[in-house]
Amino acid sequence: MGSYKKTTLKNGIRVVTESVPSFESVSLGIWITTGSRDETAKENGLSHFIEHLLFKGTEKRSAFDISREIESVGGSINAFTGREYTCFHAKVLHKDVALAIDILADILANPVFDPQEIEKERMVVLQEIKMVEDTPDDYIHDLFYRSFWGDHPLGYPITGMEENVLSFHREQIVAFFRGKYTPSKMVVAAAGRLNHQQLVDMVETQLGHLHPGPCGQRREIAEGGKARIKVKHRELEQVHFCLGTKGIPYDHRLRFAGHTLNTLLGGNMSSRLFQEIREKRGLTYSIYSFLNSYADAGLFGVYAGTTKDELQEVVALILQELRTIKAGRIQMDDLLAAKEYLRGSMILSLESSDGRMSRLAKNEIYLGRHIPLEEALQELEGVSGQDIADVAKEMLDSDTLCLTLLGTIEEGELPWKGLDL
Amino acid sequence: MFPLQPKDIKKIRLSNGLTIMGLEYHKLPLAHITLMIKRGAERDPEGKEGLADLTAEMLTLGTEHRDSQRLALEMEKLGARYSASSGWDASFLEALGLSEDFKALTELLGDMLLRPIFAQHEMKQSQQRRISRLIQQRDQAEVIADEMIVQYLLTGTPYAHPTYGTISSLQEMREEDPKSFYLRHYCPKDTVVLAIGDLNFEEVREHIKGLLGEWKSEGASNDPLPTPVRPHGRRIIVVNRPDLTQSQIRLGSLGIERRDDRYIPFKVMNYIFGGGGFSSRLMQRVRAEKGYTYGITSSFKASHIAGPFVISTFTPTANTISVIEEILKLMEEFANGGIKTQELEEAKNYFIGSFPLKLETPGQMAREILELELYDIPFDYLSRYQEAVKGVTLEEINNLARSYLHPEDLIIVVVGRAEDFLEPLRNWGEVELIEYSEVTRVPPPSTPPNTHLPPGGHTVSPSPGGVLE
Repeated sequence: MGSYKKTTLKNGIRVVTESVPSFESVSLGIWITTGSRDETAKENGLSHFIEHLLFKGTEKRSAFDISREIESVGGSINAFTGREYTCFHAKVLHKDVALAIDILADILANPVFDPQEIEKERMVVLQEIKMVEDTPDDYIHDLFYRSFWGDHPLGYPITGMEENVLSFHREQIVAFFRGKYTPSKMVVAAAGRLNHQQLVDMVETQLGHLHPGPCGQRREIAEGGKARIKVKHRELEQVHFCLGTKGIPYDHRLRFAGHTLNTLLGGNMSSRLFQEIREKRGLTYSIYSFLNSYADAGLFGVYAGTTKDELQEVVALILQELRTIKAGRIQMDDLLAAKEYLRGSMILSLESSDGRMSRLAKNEIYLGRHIPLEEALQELEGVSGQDIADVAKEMLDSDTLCLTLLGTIEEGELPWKGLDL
Repeated sequence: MFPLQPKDIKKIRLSNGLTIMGLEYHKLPLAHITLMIKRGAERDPEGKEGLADLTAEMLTLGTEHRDSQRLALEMEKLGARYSASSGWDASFLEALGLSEDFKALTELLGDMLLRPIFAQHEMKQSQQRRISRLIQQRDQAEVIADEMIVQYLLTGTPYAHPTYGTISSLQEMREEDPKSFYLRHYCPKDTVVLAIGDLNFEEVREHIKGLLGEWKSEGASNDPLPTPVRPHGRRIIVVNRPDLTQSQIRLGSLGIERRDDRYIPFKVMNYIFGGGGFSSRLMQRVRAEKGYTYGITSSFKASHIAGPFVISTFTPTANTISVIEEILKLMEEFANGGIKTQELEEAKNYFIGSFPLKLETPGQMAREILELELYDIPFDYLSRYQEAVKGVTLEEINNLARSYLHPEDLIIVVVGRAEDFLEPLRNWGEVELIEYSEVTRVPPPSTPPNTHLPPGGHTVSPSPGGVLE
């Protein structure tokens, strides 16, 4: 596989790389540990807005130059915002790494936040918000997060609220950026055909002069997940819903067991939910489970879309499956198949430099170290039935059981007052 | 520099007509196996649109030896991914797994290809899943806009319908239909097996020969495909949905066939106009300068026939007219004013530089190789590609722009709140107004539906959240 190296610059920027000489490409990402979780209620949407604005021009490049320069060597550049990080990334041929670093560093070190560009991008972001709201199977996840975490920032929508986006002004944007996009929060991750030291030198040249900024992350502890049922009425063909409980943090000792549980419950086509509810009974078109982990908390859930008439039956069947797993009644065959599936997924994810880069960065951000694939596979191999029972007991907790629904349905029409496991 | 050499693609034909192709790729312990049948949704019988795709799925829903659950479990025990689907011109059955499992994977795929049982209960469930998916999709204005522009552009050809069919066509399917389609169209002479991975081609060949060498089936001859007619004049279709806050906008004409010699120049022209990410003319004007939209793009689909060449975007209702106006203006500027040398050079550099990046994984290589095989394009296309891009001239692009970007000859589809833009739209031509409910109406079934059978389409696997890093 590839060879891993890490260097920390004087100002705190961590550079982690995996050299894979057989690749033609290099995927490169500058990750900042600032996301929607680091916003106040009034700031909600700022980190996503800033992600957009950083592409709108620097002291030496216009917005057009940024995209043109990278595209004219056949590369690509983009960014995404999460709840606990924002990532600016590029993929280029190995000969163009210096250009990619130059551009990514430039947009982070020298953005101009031009007032006219802010106004234009505000309109673009408002459309992105509407686009999410117009996509029920996306929007239900935003609603579920809000319902599960209550007023905690983990519950904020990443794109922000429309009224916030309308209110952001340049000084506020610049202050947020200066305070939260600093070297101490930066991880530069790269994978592919590269030379670690050359890359470190490039990062040092481009970003080494930046002031480190405040260390550590001041975040409100996440205590979300009080049992509740919420409905958002909208005229739709189907009722979309998420049903979930607390999950586990990213660095939890049973994280491999957590993901195995997620896989055997609703992570693939032979999973219990997929087979029982979709294949055998045909009650949904789409059903899956998810386990999203954060620095100090997590969220485990099941998404499904069904008809109003079949809603009660689908929810009852999901609860039944959750109870079965919680009671430790899992088949050894199912456990082995889920582990094999995850093993395959982990190996298959190595086929592109993008997957490797993302894995490097997340392990650095959440675990503070590199996890070689062999070590991860070994840990997965060791997951036992008891581990699944233990993690199920920890996650599948009636006190945090939340149900959020979106569709042509009113709260008064629901057949349940409360739910339990 | 370029990792995929035509000479490395091995190809043989068995005595039953089946083609076996292989590419040894030893960088990762993976195997990507595709079975391509050179007949797809364009062979759907009239009134049974979606049958090719349903037939492909049925292969994965039970064989003489394994039921659907067992197939899923055996694949997942190998840690493999698999899918089956039909697109234009071909159907696919494919799997990605570890190279050490190559034999087990191909045995499962071979079982699906040769011994499907087309079980009635699976057929009914799939049919119902698909209908439910389409009912669910009726909420999505962008899907309706995409379907309508293709329908209007390709009317009179077998490419005018969605490959997954329509609610009424799915309702019309009978138990025997997938089997009939299979017997008519699945045959060794039109089937290609491609294996890419950490494999030895000699072993691949012998193993596939052992699995599929005895397959006998003639398949019916294919009828010739009608040629679509390029739009003359402007035809505007408005689909009225008063609750929408944004309009979905599509402007389209026809592009070129895949085998057209101008395919590479056409790609370059499309890139500069609207296909090229943030630096395309459409994106720069409509998103970056005007801030009208989050995204705008132009794209074309080249197949055995000249497919759609479509500009797609969405915008708040109040901007609808301004956005269309800008697009028409840009088309005119592009066709009349031509392009700059710098734009051409940058576009060429993009295609030259991105070519290796787009052939990095076995799956990406498989798509490229199979496309060449499907359209009977020699594999040296791969080694000539970068030179061919370099050779594209300003004159070629300007000629293509003049020939294919005619703001006066277009189909325009707008899905949105009609009262806010209907009148000004009429200034550009006659408008056909259709109610959204009419487009998405569920026709009454000709037989009572089985109300307790599944929604969905098996080719879509669940989307598990959370990634184990």
